[in-house]
Amino acid sequence: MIDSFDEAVTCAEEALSDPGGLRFTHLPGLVRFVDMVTVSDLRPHGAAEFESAVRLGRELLYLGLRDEARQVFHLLADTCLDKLELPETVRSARLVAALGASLGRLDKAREVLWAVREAETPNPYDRAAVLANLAAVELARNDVSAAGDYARRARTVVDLCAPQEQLVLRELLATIEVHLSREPGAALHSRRVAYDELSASTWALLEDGDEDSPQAFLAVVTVAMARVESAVEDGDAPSLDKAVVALEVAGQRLAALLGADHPSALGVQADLAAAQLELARFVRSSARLLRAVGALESVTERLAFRLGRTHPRTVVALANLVIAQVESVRAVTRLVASLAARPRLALGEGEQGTGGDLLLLTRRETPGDWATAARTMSRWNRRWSRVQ
Amino acid sequence: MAHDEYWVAIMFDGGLRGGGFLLTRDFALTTTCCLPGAQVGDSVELRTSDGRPLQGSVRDVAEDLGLTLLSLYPGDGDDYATPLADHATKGDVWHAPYRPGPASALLGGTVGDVSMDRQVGDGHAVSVLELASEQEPCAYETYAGGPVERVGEGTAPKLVGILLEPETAGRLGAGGDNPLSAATIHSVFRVFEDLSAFALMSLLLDGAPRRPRRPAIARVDEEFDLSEHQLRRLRQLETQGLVDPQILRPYQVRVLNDLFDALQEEGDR
Repeated sequence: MIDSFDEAVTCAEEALSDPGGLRFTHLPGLVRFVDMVTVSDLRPHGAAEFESAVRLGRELLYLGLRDEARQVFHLLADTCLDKLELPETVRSARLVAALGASLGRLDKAREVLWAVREAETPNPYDRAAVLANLAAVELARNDVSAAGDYARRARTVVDLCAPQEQLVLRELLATIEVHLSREPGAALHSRRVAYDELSASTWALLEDGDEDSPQAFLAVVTVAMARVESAVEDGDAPSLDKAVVALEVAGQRLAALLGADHPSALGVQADLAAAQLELARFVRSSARLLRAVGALESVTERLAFRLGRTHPRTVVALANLVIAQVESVRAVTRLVASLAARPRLALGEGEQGTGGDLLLLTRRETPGDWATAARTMSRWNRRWSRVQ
Repeated sequence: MAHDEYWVAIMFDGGLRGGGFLLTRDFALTTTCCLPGAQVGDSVELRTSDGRPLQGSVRDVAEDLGLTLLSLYPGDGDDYATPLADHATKGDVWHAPYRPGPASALLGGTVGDVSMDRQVGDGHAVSVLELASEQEPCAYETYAGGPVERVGEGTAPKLVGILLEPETAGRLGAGGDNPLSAATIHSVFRVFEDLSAFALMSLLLDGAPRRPRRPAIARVDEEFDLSEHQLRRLRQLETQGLVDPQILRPYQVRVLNDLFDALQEEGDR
């Protein structure tokens, strides 16, 4: 019988690390505990219990107990919004909002951050992190203007933070800046500057932290995805190829570290499949295209299972999949048409038109849609939750 | 129909030398036994499971573990199957999808235990999967270098390790007398520098290990803290009479020079 959040966290951690191979025996107890807890369970115990509850929410998500993780998040968010009188209210709000974003509850996460954005806190890191997280949430919600505004405000506070804190914040803000620099109307040179800044802050983060950690590889994936996007826009096949090589290794390392079915590892696999699709188009390989579509199909299914069909990551993966399927039909049709055209050439050019109509239709629809999806694809910044 | 087998045959002079498997489209793993005496940069002829030739070269060798990392040079349009990595824990069902020949047994069973951070002397640390097999003991060394997959209900098998030479497993001291062991794929990734986060960043930054500048404020603050610490320690040596003050002067000047350089660099920006 689990009686407290601390006990529940211990139980969830045991289930995740699974030392005895009995991971499933813990789950019913966790589900029962989540069903029983209420807001009042959090109040008297203060910040430590609150942070345990946030950890529990995250671990439930990793264990695949999505509905229970959401229950915990809503409980915590309501507690935050009731202005819980804790000295660490701002920190708590950041943690809760990060959990909400992982669960795809962007509006509620924003609400929680709004509640503390003007809070008087002596800690500049708290102020900067709330603003940076708000920028990330707004970007994920596609409100570019609000994202830019919050990012600018965060930057004014970053310099006041301790060096280690600056590294994390700068990397997050650089990621946001890369996405903002791709918006229509952004100055052309700003894209290069944003990419350089992202690379520099990622490198600094690697030098300062554990280079074998999931965070290190997620940071590399962010840089690689930024490179994929710019390579696609510039039509730069060698750059795209390099980015895909890096993504493939980073994806494997994350899957080996976190488990192949971990939401973060699945997110990277979805990004990788989308990048592989782009590369397959560049090199005109229908075999690679079909394999990438297969990979995207399988990862989309797992994302839907782990995060739910309405989670932004799943929605983006599904959108990419639909477009990719059209693209693969086009590739196969082109192949069939080229084979069919060989004997017909002798009959005259008009005979080739049957397959061409479909090609024209998909050709007209695909590039624009694809570019939009590619941008949306990485706009969902799964790593914003690192700043907590 | 896409081909899903990811093993590769290692060839030499038209003959088969051994096997390995693709980690990604650009990297493969094998054992040093398949490439005895091979040096970094040596060319390797490979053949994929569907018989296509593939060029590669030795990228790195971990002699203590008997593992070799290969770089591959696939054609732009060529499609290759690759596995998806995962981790395994005690009690998981495993199998080795590939065997040395059609007459050999297909190995499988459950993961007996996972021994963390085993190493031979001061060599690379790896985590070892101690594998309980459902089959009668056989010549396990012929399976070495093959992948180990975790088999889960309702999901595709995932790559969790590489079978070790029984001798290497013995030297690593995991699993007592059990010669059937695998290094976890996560720990094998850590062995090879080319698969590190830094190597990937270097690749993304166009090859050279370019170390972009840090944010100015952080750099100067750090330099200042470091200089202060060093000067205090030098002063300590002086006041305790451990070192002649005259000997310390050049070192103090050097510390101050470094600090001045950092300040000047910030000013230039």
